[in-house]
Amino acid sequence: MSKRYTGVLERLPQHFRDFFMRRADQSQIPAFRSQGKYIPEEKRYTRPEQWKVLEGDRVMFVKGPNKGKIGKVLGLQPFTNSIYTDIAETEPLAVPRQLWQEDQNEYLIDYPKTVSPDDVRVVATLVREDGTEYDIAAEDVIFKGKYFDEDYKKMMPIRRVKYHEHIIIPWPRPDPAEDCVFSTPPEVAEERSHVENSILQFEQPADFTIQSLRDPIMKRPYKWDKQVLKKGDITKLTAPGIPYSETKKAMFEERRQIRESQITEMSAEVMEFIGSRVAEHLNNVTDPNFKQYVDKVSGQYRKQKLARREKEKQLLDLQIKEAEKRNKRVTRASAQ
Amino acid sequence: MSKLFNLSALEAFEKLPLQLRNFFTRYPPAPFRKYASEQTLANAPDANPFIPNRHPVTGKVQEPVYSLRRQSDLYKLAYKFGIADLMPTMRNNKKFYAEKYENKALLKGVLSPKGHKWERTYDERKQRISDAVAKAEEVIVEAKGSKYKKRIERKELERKTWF
Repeated sequence: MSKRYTGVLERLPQHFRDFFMRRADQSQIPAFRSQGKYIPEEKRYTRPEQWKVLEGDRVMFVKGPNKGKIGKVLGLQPFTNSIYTDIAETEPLAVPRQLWQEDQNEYLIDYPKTVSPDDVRVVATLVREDGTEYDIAAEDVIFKGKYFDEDYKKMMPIRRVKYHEHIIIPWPRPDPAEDCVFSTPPEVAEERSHVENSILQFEQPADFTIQSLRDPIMKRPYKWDKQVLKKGDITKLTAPGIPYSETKKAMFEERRQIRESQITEMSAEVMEFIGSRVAEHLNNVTDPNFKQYVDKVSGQYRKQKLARREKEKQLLDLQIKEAEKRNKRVTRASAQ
Repeated sequence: MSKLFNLSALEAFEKLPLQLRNFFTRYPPAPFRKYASEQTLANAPDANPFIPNRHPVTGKVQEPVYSLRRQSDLYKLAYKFGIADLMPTMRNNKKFYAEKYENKALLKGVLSPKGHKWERTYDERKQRISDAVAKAEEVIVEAKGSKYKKRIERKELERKTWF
């Protein structure tokens, strides 16, 4: 359908849109009908963080007749936000002869149903200290950090088990893309064919003039051509301010004097004097609740608390690092 | 109940919250330094950090170093550790707890309650009534004439007494 009509459809309220989609579906033969609910383009999953599973992942089903079984993801179906799996329910579907596969000899085929990625749990294999392997199914996964994946050729988020972030579930390896006759080998693509000799002299002919490399009839300005002033530019463009008046200078001087005259260290005798008074008071305390309060608000306790937190953080970092190493070892072993 | 702490002076000092320690570092207590209870110049050696002082050059009144809320917080904290009396005098001679209760001025209404109108005019009304009763006969005589006056006089004469 052209944009002229679909545009109108997108502006309609949800129930009207559903109605028209259903109407359109009814007029089709079953083979061409859309499966599941129609999902508008802006709500379709595009990123791995949305899918949570990719082709090749092992998953455990948590709903439906296959509940509890472990299967494999065969592919993604973006227009319904669902996935194809090797273990799946099927439904009979009548296919017109024009769409028959090579080995097909009847109209009715068993077409696999898709499942929502919310109804499956990712299964990961971990290794114990003694080398034995075991499986876990992650209740939920979260994404923290990114790395460049050589096989996907892009930045991929690091998938971790929720509440056990040190367990990293590596992404499945995609099928290697096969080169065709028109493919350019990577070493050719990365080869540098031009080196500039000088940044002062332009190599193009003197009469060469061009406003922009962009399409001259483009309506909007190019989105990356933002006119942004950087910090250095602002400094250069700002006129020098009025010098400080004598009054202000006097104020600065006064502030400095106040700062210098402030006592920063407590002398031993003052400490002794205050301490003796506090000791006199605290040594008569008999209320255990008050003792607890004193221990909690004391400066000592605060210092200890900060030190303890720091230590816990270091420990967690170490755990995550170790898990990453372990997972790397597993992926390397499984690749071989 | 048994006593829960057995601390030396330095150990006890370590028990103080940082907030109080920092305050006493900047403003050592009374025997080591004196603090004015009135407004002074801000740079005076006995300037009180709880009171709004005057700037030495411009003469303008400055906000106190510690706001009313912060000085109250400090005082209450010091009170818990038994060193509230080491604090400088607070702004407006502010007091807390028992001391505040004892030094509290009584309310005007408690000292001299206004009362209802019948209470306020009670004495005056009673006086007027008694006066009127006292000269009731004169009024009646005036209205009824000399015959009534004579009757009163006769009654007076005929009154029986025990003696």
